[in-house]
Amino acid sequence: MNLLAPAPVFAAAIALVWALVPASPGLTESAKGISAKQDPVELSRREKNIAQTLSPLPALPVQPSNRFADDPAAARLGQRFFYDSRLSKDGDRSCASCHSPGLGWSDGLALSEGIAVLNRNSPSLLHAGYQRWMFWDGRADSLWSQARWPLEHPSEMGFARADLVRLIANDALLRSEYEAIFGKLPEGAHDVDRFRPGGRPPFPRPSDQFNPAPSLEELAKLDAGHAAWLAMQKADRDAATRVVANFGKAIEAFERKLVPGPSPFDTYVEGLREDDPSKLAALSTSAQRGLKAFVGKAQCVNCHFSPLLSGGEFHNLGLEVAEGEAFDQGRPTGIRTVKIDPLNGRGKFSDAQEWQSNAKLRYLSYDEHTYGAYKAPSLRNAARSAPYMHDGRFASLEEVVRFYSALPGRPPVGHREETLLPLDLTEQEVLDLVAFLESLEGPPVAEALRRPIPSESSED
Amino acid sequence: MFARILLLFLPIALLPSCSGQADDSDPPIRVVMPDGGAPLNQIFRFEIDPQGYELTGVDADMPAHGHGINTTPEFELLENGRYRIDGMKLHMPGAWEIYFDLKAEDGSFFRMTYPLEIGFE
Repeated sequence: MNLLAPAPVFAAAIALVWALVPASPGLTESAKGISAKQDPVELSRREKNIAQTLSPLPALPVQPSNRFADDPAAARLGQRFFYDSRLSKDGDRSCASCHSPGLGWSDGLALSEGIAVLNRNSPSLLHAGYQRWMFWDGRADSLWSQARWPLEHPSEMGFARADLVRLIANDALLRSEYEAIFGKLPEGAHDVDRFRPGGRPPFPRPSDQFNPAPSLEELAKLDAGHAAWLAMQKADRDAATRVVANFGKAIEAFERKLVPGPSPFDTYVEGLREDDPSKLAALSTSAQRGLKAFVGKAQCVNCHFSPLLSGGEFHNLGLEVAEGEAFDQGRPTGIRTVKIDPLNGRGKFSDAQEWQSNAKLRYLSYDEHTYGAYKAPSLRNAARSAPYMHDGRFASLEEVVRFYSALPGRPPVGHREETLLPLDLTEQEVLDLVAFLESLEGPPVAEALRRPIPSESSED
Repeated sequence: MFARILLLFLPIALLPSCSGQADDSDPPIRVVMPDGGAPLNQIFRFEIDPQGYELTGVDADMPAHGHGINTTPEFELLENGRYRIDGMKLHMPGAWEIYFDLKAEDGSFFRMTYPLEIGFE
């Protein structure tokens, strides 16, 4: 039996509780979830139990494939890289361009804009260190492996790992910090004849008998960066890839610090555990009703569970695509890509060799149910990272909730997950769920992380 | 044939083994989950005692959701006659079914369904 299946008795109990809830200010109550009057909402034992599995946020998981993941010096270097617009083809873009601290570590756009407009919404970096898979299709299995995709993508930052080697070599501060952490840069790191301008390999691309991936030689005829890469010695190519992997490991160490403090919801759960009315009052009545719906009628918790408010896995929501508009397969492409990626957790640039740390790749597979599936994002601090969904189609959390209420349309590929049925929420229920989602926002991360490190600074 | 009928009821008899408390009297195979039961959304390892049957495949589904698992478990016959199954991940809370494809001594194949409920932690 599905725990969340609305058995008649359970449904009747919810209805009764709902009916007995003291009259709320209704639609006049702020959807922000702040209400002067805090009327406690009664949760069933089961609802309380589930709510308590959603908080507090535990310590970051270990990251075996990056032995520098929690190294403060690596985090500091990663912060330098993160805000450095020299790491882009035209010198005008950095990681922070699409992951801006002032915009929820996203960019506020439906579709991100690098050198060109992309086909994905920029995900927030908050809590990124808790994620199992990166990108909406999960094509990277670590933050360090993820980082070189936007760096080298011609539509994003348009940079190249061979240029990265020379840039670090020619910047005394970056070079000293890099070498103190990762060891010496490769011999000839300054040399444009060895680390050729624009030199970068093609991204890993799944290949099969119907769509064979082109060879490097074929791609080199079409792309000057690949031609430069082809012209480099294999040892120098390996050395440049080691540098871009280390770049990613520094970025990961920085991104693991992007964890906001406890949210009002976390305080509320403390109140549940301690039976403390003052802590329970951290959530407005509307947000409490929203929580009740979140773990009950609306079944949001089926995919958005655990303290991250996400299982980190992939689901087909049945998002429709207009006729003639482009779409992609989502997760299957991600799975096929991450398994062949030379920078994945099982490759030679990974710091993990033991079985357990690579189990997620070793056993990873896909079937027809993963088509059209995208990652369930964390809902913590989601209120700051609008718009929503992999293509940014919804401008607000309210639009997202209304989508789940009506579930219009059909997906262009695969099938909508079968437990997703229209919720037929009332207007009040929509606002309550939004109020709950907004209660998941903790205070911003430390100010020192929200800006570049002054280049002359040597502070810790 | 009698053994086949027993198999049909086996899943119910085996439910307590979710917490590792398998009952030795339950024929014909026994499922031994890790301490604390099968975890939510984590790759885990468990064992079965096949009672002479040959294990030929392992899979799992979430029938109400219309999807299965996103891993391909591997299994290995141990010296003590048990099979160790690695790589199972039940990635959502709710009702799951684990399927064991078995081969009998007479060469016939059949599938045993093992239902289990995965909680929120």
